[in-house]
Order: sequence, then structure tokens, then C-alpha cells
Amino acid sequence: MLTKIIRLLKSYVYVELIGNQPERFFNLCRHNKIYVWNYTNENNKIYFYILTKDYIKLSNIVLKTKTYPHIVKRIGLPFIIGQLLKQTSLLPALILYITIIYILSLCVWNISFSGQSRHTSSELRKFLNDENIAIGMLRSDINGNEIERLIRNHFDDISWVSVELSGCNVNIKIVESDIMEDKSNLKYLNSDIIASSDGTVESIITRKGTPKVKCGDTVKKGQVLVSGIIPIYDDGGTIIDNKLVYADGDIILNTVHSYKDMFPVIYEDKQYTGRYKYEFKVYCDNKIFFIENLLNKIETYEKYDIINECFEIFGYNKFCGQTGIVRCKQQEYEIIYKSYSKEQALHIARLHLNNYIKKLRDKDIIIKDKKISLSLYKNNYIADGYLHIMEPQLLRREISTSDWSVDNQDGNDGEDN
Amino acid sequence: MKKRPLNYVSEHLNLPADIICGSCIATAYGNKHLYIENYRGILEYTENTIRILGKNGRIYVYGSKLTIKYYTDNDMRIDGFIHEIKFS
Repeated sequence: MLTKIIRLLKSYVYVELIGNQPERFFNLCRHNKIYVWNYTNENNKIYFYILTKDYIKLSNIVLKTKTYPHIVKRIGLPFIIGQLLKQTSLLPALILYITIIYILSLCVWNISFSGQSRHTSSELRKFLNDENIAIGMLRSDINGNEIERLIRNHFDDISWVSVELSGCNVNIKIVESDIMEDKSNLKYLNSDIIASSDGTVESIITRKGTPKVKCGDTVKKGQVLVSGIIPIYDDGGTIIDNKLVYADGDIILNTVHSYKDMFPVIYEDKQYTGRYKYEFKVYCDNKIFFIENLLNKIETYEKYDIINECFEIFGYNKFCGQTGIVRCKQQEYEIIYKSYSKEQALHIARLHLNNYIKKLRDKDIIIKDKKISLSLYKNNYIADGYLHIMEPQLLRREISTSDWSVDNQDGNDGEDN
Repeated sequence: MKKRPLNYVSEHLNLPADIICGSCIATAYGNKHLYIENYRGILEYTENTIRILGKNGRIYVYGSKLTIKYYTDNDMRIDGFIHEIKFS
């Protein structure tokens, strides 16, 4: 294999030996260390292969043996290059190719991001596009320090940025900082926790502030549960000052929550007529292109559903995003009025109740018991009743000046009379 | 007269005959390939016959579509359909 490659690189010729003493020719080649291979005898004609540089040395042997080595075929890379160079369009094409490659290498063709978790690459890329830093700009215009400064200034939660220009790629590495709770954004910096509804205290855990109720106490709506005022006493037990804090604690109230749901007996139902029509569109990077079919306008539907099916042709790429075909189906339907039976109404009322309970549970509210009944009143089904719930108290009230003033706390002005 | 003592020596002392006597070495792989060493030259080459001159005799190779794959100072290879190899 290696021998074949070397022969191709050096080039060799396929020769027909014309003459009467081929055997003497072979022996003389061998004696003169001229390597010849693949002797064949076809129709009393001798053919063989010889390297081009050895063919040139055959002159003495040819004179001695009175033979003539006629070249039938030329094989090898130097011959191919020679043929190519004879073509007049090769050199300009080569120059044009090199020029185009050089011009393209002057621009940036890829901007990649790594290390980010809260920000998507699209968001960061869009930001850079707005700052006129995009694919296709010159590499010499890329200022890494400027890009780092822009990103750090615009995104507060990005603490470190590194920009690397590698060939035609811009690689941006990002390190995001941990989000700290910004207490300056809290509503009511100094506040009490108050009851959002009437009920009984199920449990109370106070982390900051003064608890005003204990387990089992009955509270009214708006009553302070944990106060943000911490009194400071002197040795005699007199309040000398009040410290204001952001009251913090977990308080759970047992309350009764009313529930009411209403829906009509008669409802609209879709019945498909079976008639439909198609429209085909092409999408490219979230943009849709289509040629309107005028035949579709001959017959239009009064009411119809639109069902879009997307067929991807090319996956996502940096230049034109995702590309594919969308098939829009317009399916005609007509409205039919029906009424719910008792079982159907019960089923719907249960669905609504379950959705409502799910929303309560998402707020960490525990449902202890429920009593809901379904009744029919004036063409409407009404589901009403009440739910026994255990609700965490999160409502707050800002501490007013009158609440925490020391004078109001104690009539004693501090002097021992 | 010279060849007899040399043959005697090579046979009895187990010495290689191609070095002592100058004998040709012919190695055949089936009837497709034939390697020949220790020769002096080619006497005749046709599609059906190749005659090779050795140091102590001649080798005749008969067959069809015979080709000489390579032919160097040290060895040569004959390809094709070999019917008969004859020494004289």
C-alpha cells in the first residue's frame, strides 16, 4: 500500500515495448538497477510499468537492444498537477478561493456562551446584538474588555465575564453570583404579622418579634399575632425603649372558608361537520412565509378550529434557526346547545372543587374537612358549602408611630417620684 | 567434476545448496504464484512460456497468462496459471 502511494507521488508510466529482444531489455534493466514491474504479454506485445525518472535512463538500453519503449499511459500526481496547470481558469479560481477564505476569516461567525444558568444564550445574544456586537462583524472590531464591561453592567447577577477570541469564534464564559435577599425591597421593613381571617391558633413558632397569642387562642381578622416591637426594659422592669424588627414566624390558623361555584345548566358544544381545508406555510427562525391559496377564499367557514402541524426540515442553526413546513387545518364546526344531566353536573362541580382545592394546597393550606352541596336554581347549578382549613398566616401590617412610642407604652416618665 | 564434490559436501554437511552449488530456489504458492531466486537471467518470455537461466541449469515455466510481477537482482515473481515447472 505504501509502495503504491509512493509510486503515485513520484509518478510512473505504462510502457509498450516495441522490438525483438525484450528478454535482453529485461536483463539489462536488471543489471543497471532499473526497477520495472508487472511485465505482461498481451497479443505478443510486452507491457510494463516503470518510474518516470527511470524511464529517462533507458536510452542506452534502448540503443543496445534496438527496442522502443512507447508510453501508453502516464500515472501520478505530477502529471495531474501538470494537466491542471494547463487550464487557464485554475490559477484565477485558486486566487479567488484564497481571497474569499481570507476575507471570511476576517469576520466573526460564532458567538458562544458557557457557564450561565439563569440567562439563556438567546437573551445574551440579543443583548449583544442591541449593542452592535453580532455575527458577521470584523474580528478587529471585537473589544473583549468592552464586551465584559457591558455584560457586567447590564446583568446584576453576573459577577465574572471572560471573552476569548479564538479564530472566528467568540467564546464568552460567565459566572453568575448567588442571589441574596434584598431586604430593602421588602414591603414594610418593620412590620407585624396579623390574622387574615377569624379562627383559632393551631400552632405558633416565633423567630423574631413578640408573640401576642398562643396555641388555642381565638383571634379575629386583623388581630396582631406576632408583633415587630421588642420592648427594652431597665433593671426596674420599666420599658425604656422599643426596638422595631421585621416580625418573623410560622403561625397556622384553623379557619372556616366558604366556597361557592355556579355554572349554567345549558352549555354550548362543538360538533364538527367533517369539512376542512389545508393551508401550507414555511417557517424559518420563528417567521412564517406563505402564498395564500385564493381557491380557499371561495368557500369560507363561519366557525372553525385551526390545527397547526409543524414538520421540521432543518434543525436549529445559527444563521436561520429552525426551518420547516407548517400544515394549517381549518376544521369547521357548529354550535349545539345541550344541558347537563345530574351526573354530569356533579362531575363538573367536583372538577371545579378539586381545582380550587389544588390552588389552596399550592399556597400550603391544609384542608381538614369539607361540606359542599349541589343544587339547581333558576337554570343554574350552584355548589356551595364550607371548608375547614389550616392556613399559614402571611399578612403583614406596618408598625405605626403610635404603636411603638415609649410614652404610649407606659405613663411613667422614668423618674421615681 | 567440480559439481560432484560440491553436491556431496552440501548434502552431507547439511549446508544450503543455493550458496554452495549455486542452485536456483523456486517457491510455488499453488499454481498461481512462483518465486524464483538465484538466477542469471531470462532467456524467453511469452504468454505461455518463461525460460530462466540458472547458474547450474535452466527452469522452464509453462502455463497461461503468465506475467512477471517483478524482476530484480535477487528474486523474481511469476503470476498466472502455471501448468508445469521443468528443470534441466
